[in-house]
Amino acid sequence: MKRELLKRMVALGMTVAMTGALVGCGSSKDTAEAPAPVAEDLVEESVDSASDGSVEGALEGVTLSFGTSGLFAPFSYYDEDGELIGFDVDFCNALKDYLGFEIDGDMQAMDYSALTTSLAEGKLDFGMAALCATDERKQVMNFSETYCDSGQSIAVNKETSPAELTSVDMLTSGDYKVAVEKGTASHMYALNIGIPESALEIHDEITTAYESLEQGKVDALIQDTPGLAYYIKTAEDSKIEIKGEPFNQGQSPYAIAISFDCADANPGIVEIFNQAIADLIADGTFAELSAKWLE
Amino acid sequence: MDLSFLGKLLPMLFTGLRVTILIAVVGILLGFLVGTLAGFALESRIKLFKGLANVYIWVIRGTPLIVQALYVYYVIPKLFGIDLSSNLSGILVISLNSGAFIAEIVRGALNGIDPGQREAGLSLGLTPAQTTWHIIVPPAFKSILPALFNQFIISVKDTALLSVIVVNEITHQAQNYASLSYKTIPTYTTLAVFYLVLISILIIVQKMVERKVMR
Repeated sequence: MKRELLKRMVALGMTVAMTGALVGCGSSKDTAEAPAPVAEDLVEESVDSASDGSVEGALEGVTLSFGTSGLFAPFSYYDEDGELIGFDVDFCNALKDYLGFEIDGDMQAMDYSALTTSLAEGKLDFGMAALCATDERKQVMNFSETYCDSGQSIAVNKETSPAELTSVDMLTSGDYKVAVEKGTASHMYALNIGIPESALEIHDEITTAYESLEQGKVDALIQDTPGLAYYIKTAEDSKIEIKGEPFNQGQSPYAIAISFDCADANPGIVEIFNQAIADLIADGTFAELSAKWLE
Repeated sequence: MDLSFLGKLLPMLFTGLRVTILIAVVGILLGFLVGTLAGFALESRIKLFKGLANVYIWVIRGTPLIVQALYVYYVIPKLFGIDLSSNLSGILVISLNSGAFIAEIVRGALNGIDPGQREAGLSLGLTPAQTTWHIIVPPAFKSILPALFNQFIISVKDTALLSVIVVNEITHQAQNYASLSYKTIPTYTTLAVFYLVLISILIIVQKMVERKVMR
């Protein structure tokens, strides 16, 4: 008798657990498929509540985890003393001071694929790392308004790359080895324009991609223009040069990424960030940072 | 559950599998060669051989595989002007790496043979080389087989680290897919199952070979 009861209880417990798991899957899928309307609703609400205009101190008492790349000068990188610096780091601090939120622990630096995955999975609340607001990424995270629009460029090695290689369209032939950084807008672009997989070298970090081009292991490299320009400017004895005009401008707008979980927990946060970006542009902070890092 | 992602991911994993198997198999064969030489060198009475083998094993065991890979791929070309492709660098790194561990295995096996066997061989009138080849090597080889297979399985899994030098092995392919599709959980679950099946097959092969040899 007792054993019978125990069996039933176990069975019941398992049913409950499985239903819970199914419900869990269902709801997460819903948010993944229909993020935009949710975000828009929140935006409208917060516009009403913040109709007096200023969002200064709007996130007082809120703690957010923050991620960046740490490998993408001049936006976020480590200086010689091991200090995390760059445009995005300063801009994040300006937003922090202006909105009044706290950063959970330290700023976390990681590879691009780890960073975007963490944002998609809600392991990070928000991220700034010259992140492009691409259509693919918008499926899995929120983005603020664009704060910088860069476009990508191709770079070649002055000594080892074929001289006839002058434009990105020539890369689709598959005759040239091309390096990109994994999970970046450049990686996506390379696949979208149809560069054959056999001609593509996908690096975990942009630093090894640069090194491969410097050593002539690849013929070309696709990267966001500002990062590329900064590398060429600062690397000693670099043999790399930019070829042709920047391209893909529509798909490389840098914006602040905010995870769905964070937006759910802090209604209206995307709109608050947007207003803060506009305010910091208006009061000259942004121009100051641009002058410091991007020129 | 939507499994349509497998249509894209599985072909990528099989492309990676070819590279992984190529590097692991060629790597372990060369590693066996290097490891056997180094193992005998460790037992040698010639100080130079012994010293060289010790330095080799010390360097390889003392540095992570990922560092060795970056070194072979990026630093050696700068120092010596020898530019290796990423797959060749991968094979070299897996060979050197498994070789160091196999050397220790070989030394252990040689030590494990009763000294009386050698004395018996010599007293029968065999030369030292003949004694080693006919008396010492056969039982020693049998005893290292399990450890050798174990090292092979480790090498198969170690190839995952070659991702840093853009070797298109299984893990690299999965990461490429996950980084753009953001299907993190399905991708890495598939990846884990894929390795599990692969290693299970190798374990079955190991058991079959051992049964044959041990008979």
